[in-house]
Amino acid sequence: MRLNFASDKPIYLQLAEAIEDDILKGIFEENGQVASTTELAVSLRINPATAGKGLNLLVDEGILFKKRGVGMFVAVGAREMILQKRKETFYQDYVMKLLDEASKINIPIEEVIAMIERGRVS
Amino acid sequence: MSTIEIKGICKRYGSTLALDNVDLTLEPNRIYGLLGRNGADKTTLLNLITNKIFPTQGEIVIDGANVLENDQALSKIFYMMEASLYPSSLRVKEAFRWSKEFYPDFDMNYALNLSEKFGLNMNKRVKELSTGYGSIMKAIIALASNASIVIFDEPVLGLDANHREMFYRELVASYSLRPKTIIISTHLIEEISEVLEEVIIIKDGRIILKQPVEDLLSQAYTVSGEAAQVERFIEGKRCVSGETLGKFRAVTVMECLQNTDRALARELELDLSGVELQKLFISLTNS
Amino acid sequence: MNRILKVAKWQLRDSRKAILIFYGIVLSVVGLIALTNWLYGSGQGKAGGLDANEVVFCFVFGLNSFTTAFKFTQANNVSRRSLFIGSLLSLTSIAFLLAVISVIFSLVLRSVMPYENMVTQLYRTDAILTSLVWSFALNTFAMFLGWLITMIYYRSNKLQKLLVSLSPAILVFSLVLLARTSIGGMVFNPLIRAIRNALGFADLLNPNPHVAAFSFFVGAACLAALNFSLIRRAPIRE
Repeated sequence: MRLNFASDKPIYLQLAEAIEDDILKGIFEENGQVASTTELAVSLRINPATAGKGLNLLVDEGILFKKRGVGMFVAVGAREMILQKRKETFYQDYVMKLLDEASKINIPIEEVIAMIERGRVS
Repeated sequence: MSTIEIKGICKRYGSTLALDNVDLTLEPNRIYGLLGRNGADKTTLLNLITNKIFPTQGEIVIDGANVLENDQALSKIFYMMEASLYPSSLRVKEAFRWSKEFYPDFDMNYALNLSEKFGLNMNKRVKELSTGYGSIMKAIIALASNASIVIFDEPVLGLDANHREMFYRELVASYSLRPKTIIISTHLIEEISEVLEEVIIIKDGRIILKQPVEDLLSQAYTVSGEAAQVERFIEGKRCVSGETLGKFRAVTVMECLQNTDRALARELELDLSGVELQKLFISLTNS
Repeated sequence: MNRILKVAKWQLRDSRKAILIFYGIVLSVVGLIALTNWLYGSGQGKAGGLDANEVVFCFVFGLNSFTTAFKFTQANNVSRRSLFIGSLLSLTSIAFLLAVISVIFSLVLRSVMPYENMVTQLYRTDAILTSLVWSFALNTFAMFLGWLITMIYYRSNKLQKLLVSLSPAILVFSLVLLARTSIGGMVFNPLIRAIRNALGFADLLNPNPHVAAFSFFVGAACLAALNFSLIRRAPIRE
């Protein structure tokens, strides 16, 4: 899990996304325990309140749930929720960026589509 | 859970006004960073909070009690000073034992544990310790003291990069497991920016800012790219500082980043990024 | 209250080394004298006043009892008031301890040789309790004097330090000058007489050690009060 302290995205958001990524990758399994606020804060060298904020964000979204006295766990159906969420931002974060970059370096749209096809097959 | 209230504090040395009408409330259980260009300003404020020196005017109150010569209030604070105040012939382990006498909540096991982690020889006498290990000893005592307010004045002086990292991690761990009010005064802003919750910036003896780090960082961003495009982008915006390298220009904008700004940046083919706390600090204290 | 006791505890613990060294030296010297006496002595003559050393020790100890203690208590965030009261307790305890040891010492020495301690030499009495109280009082006075002097030095800037260092010489010089003049006589003689009386020598044929002890205690109290006024706002010096 790496955080980019120079990014304009707040740390707690980056943390939440990093945990989501780990859930998608299967590092954190459904009903499995996620690292605690303390563990995250210590390993990432950030303020525990920030770590807590990131975790609470995921709790609010239903991706994680809290077991009193034990810790934070991945909710059942978390993967689905994350995938759904990511689909919605896919357009902004990836498609638009792809098109911007393509126009910046003067790749016509047909070539872009051809590249996508090529990538899909390989 | 102790609240610190600094009310109308002035400190005068002869004809110099070191601190001018400082009003500050420090809520409990946060990690505060005290930043300033002048080390003396910061140390003066910390010395006043801990009864090392006396205010010319104003008072400092902890949980309703004035700190002035008040042992009950003072015993809630552990102050890791830059100065070396331990008797030079005292052995490290004796320093730990006496710390336990004066701070009953001192966790000896934790102190022993940390000493081992940092490689601090507990049989050495204070005078035999290098600058770095002198700081380490004091930092360990501060962390193990379990005081409800722990103040660090330049805690990592003389520490190599590895020990500095270890210190920050131990600080975070200790704070997470046993919440307390922590105040860190340091010149090494970037190293510690993510550990801080709130920053207090002092300039020319006055508090110019007290804000959560996250809020402060969200109020500025950097835009960079081709110089002419950058100029177009920043028109009408509040900016500070800028760097130019040939046709490349980077400017720090002191506003919240809006979606319209993002769109404009994309259109002008400019890059957006956050601003480092240290950079913000320099801009704020330069104006 | 608790912190006051901790301060006293620390100062007492810290004093052990100095006291042990002191008695080590005293015993060696006494042993040497006894040995010389036994080997070469003719059995005549008297020994005495060894307890004068402990007064000097108390003075020197007082001189050393501020700076380190102040820095250490500041490191532990203890108030100056607690430092002051804690020091009062530990210094007087040590003064008392030394007085007790000194009296025991005198008793032991007296049993093997003709020995007179200071009280006996000055006041022609060998009552144990009187010796104890007198020594205790003088030790305390000497301690507090050293304590005050070091305090004055701590609170002084360079110029003040110079003046303080020179003041005993200046004082003696001016007193001697005054003594030679008749006006000086009016000041000097009553002063000398007052000091003599305070030390119990109002009646030269029947000197009174109890008066002296009382004077020493009163003097010590004044010194302590002066010291408190200097400690209470002492700044931390790096």
